[in-house]
Amino acid sequence: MAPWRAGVRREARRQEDLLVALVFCEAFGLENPAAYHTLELYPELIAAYHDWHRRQGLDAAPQPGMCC
Amino acid sequence: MNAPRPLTFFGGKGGVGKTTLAAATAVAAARAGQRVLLVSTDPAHSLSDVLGRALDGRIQEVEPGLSAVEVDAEAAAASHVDDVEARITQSFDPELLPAVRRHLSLARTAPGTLESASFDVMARFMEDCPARFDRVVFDTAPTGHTLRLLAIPALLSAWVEGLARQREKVAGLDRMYRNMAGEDQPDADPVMAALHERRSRFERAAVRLHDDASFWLVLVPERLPVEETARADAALAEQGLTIGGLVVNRRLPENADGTFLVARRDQQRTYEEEIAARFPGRLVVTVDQRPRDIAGLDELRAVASTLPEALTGSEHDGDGGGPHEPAGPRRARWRRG
Repeated sequence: MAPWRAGVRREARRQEDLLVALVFCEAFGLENPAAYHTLELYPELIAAYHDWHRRQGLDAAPQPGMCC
Repeated sequence: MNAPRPLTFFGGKGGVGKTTLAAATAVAAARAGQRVLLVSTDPAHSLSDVLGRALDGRIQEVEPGLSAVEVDAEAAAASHVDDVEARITQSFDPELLPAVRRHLSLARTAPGTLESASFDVMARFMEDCPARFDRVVFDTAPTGHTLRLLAIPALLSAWVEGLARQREKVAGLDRMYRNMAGEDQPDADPVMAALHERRSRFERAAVRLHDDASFWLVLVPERLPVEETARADAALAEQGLTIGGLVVNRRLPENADGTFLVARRDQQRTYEEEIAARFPGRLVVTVDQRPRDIAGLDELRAVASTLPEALTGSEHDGDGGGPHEPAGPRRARWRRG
């Protein structure tokens, strides 16, 4: 794969990680003022969250029970 | 004619008579020919007791033209979480589901959940006006709770907006990558759709609260309610919301006798003067205390006959109480009804 293409993919993942962090910010001990309303994003984003913590080298989610 | 705005909120300290006044207003508006929905958002509902009829989370017709409902925030929150859980069950790795369920069960009881749920329900009722109801009258929870509730759309639409921007960035990069890699583009983005739907719901609620709602602050002529009313008045004005006026409830009538009641009445008059001085731009309505509790539609109608047209939308003969014009440069601040 061309390096610039890998770069775009990396950047896409980085931006998705930020989105995941914002939606699941309770997992980092930060209050999410819209938690109730963003709950409806979980079905779409929970898999991305799971990938994220695995990439960070955490076998289990930092917040017990979030996904595993 | 001072036509009332279609969304009317009654707020104030606990126990000052918000429910009774909201119900009286709704009864009067319905009898004037409007289709009225009376909504209790106070988690400690007392609307059933005032109307003398068992209400619940579903809209019920109480008499022709008048429907009522007590918001069941717990049931609304539970069905929201159930919905999310069902969608996760369809799409997520089944082995991880028990943990997801545990997490969602925490969401049911998280702080703020019931408040958010009751806001959602309230926003839905606002959207029933004008299609289904001409007038929606809200009997709200005590002041602090209500002020937080009203701040939700402004506070959270910025948050949701930020999430939507972030999602757009991700989708844009993803498209770029797929183009370069020659991969198929994904179908419509459900995350983006959910965020847009959320944002537009918050925006619509904020616009309705701003353009179509008026807030009436209920108090009794005593020290603590006067102070709380001053704070609520300032907070509502700061949020750019329209205050219909103040309702000074349970004023002892001139014929209340006995040294105890006379002393009490004198003190009330001092507070009434203070109210006129401290709220110079507001319409102040006074409602006399009655010898017995108010319950049932007929007694509510009797109370309603003392309320001004600005509140009920109908003319009446006025048998005591009635609007009291405060000293000051402006009387009422009526904008479009």
